[in-house]
Amino acid sequence: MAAAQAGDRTALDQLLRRHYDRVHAVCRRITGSEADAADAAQEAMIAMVRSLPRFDGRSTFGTWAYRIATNASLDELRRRRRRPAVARTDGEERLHQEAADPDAGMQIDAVATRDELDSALARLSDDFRVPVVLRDLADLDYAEIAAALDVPIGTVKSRIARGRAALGEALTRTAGNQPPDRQRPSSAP
Amino acid sequence: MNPDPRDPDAVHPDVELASAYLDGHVTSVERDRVLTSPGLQIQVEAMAAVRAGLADVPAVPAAVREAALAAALAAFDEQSGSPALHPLASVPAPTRLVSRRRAPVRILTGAAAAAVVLVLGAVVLNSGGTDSSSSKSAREGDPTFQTPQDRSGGAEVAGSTVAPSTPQATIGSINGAGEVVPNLDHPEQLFTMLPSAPSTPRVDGPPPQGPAPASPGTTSATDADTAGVATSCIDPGQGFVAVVRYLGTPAVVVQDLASGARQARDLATCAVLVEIAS
Repeated sequence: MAAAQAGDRTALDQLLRRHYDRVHAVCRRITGSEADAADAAQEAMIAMVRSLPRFDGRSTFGTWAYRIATNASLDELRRRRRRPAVARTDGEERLHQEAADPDAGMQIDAVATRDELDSALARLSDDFRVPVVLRDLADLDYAEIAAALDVPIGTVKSRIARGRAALGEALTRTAGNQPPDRQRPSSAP
Repeated sequence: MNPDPRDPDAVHPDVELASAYLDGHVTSVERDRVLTSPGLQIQVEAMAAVRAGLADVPAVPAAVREAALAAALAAFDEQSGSPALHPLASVPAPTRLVSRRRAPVRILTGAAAAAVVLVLGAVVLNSGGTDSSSSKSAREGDPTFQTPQDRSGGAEVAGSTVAPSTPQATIGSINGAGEVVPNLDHPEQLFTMLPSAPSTPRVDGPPPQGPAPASPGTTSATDADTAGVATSCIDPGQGFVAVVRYLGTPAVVVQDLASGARQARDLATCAVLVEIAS
């Protein structure tokens, strides 16, 4: 870390390589898209390189990196929303309401698969999705998430709870309502 | 207690308790409550399933990873101004402390050398070689030169002159022909002088007295005469080596053809200024 900060290119390469996959995973979960995640993760890596001389070590490098990844992902989402095709706006709005009221999540059409968890996440508003991802994927604690998102710890705690509740309820109900053929998407020949 | 519906961050206490339990942020009382409540247990299990699902991220394609890392390292190269094709190739070789300390000296030496070359070049261009009119121009602009009319008692030799009493340059003076007369300070330096070609800088001096036998490594007096060098200071058995300034005095360096010893002789008086055996 110190060597990378001092300008050692090899050390920097190793540092970035060590954190890339997790950074990409955070971007993947926040953006909900493989292509957007790749773009966001790359932007995050570049931002890390440019900001590394100013990294003061008050947080761990991982926390700092995830904060940058989160911002890069949210920027990518904003860019995506400015594009002409904004097909998911309605869904996002609906899920935002569902996140505010967990009991309204009955109609979520998702299954307990990786892709459909992505879909459920994508329909969650950023305010709920990002804290959940940072907690359950990046393993940041409440204080680190609060610092990363610049919101109070109490807000982080409640948003994580509501986000989890919305996702959990969606997954549980979807699994219970799955028709048998949908529970096995990769049918045998 | 139900959450305030107007508060976007409001959450049902049981939901928040289940989530906090999953994160280990509960008191012992709260933990007991979760463990004894089937409803809360279900909530905790659902949230745990979410956590497991979120952690199950597809592997990153290697090409995507490498592209991102390459872009980041390119940004680093751009930022640091040190382009490198391969991470290992970019490892900066440690700079030795001695080298760093010598760097300013080398820079100053190089700058001084460049300045000398520029000055020499300018003088050569102004003097225009051996052309008499060009030489005259050079002499008029250089206080170290004397025109034949200025001199009294000195034998005129074609070309430029070196006045014995003229100020001395630090690293040598420049003749009208654009050549440097070395300035020597120590007898040992006589042996650093290579025999001059016939185009040796021409200096004033007594008229020639006669030829001296040539020998390898020296120019014969005849050659020196041809070059216009004052050969009167060259005794028989000696060969001409070079015209110099020795401790500021215009001098001719001669070499004994038998012993190899060298002398620096005052060009004006032919007095031996210094002699050193080979």
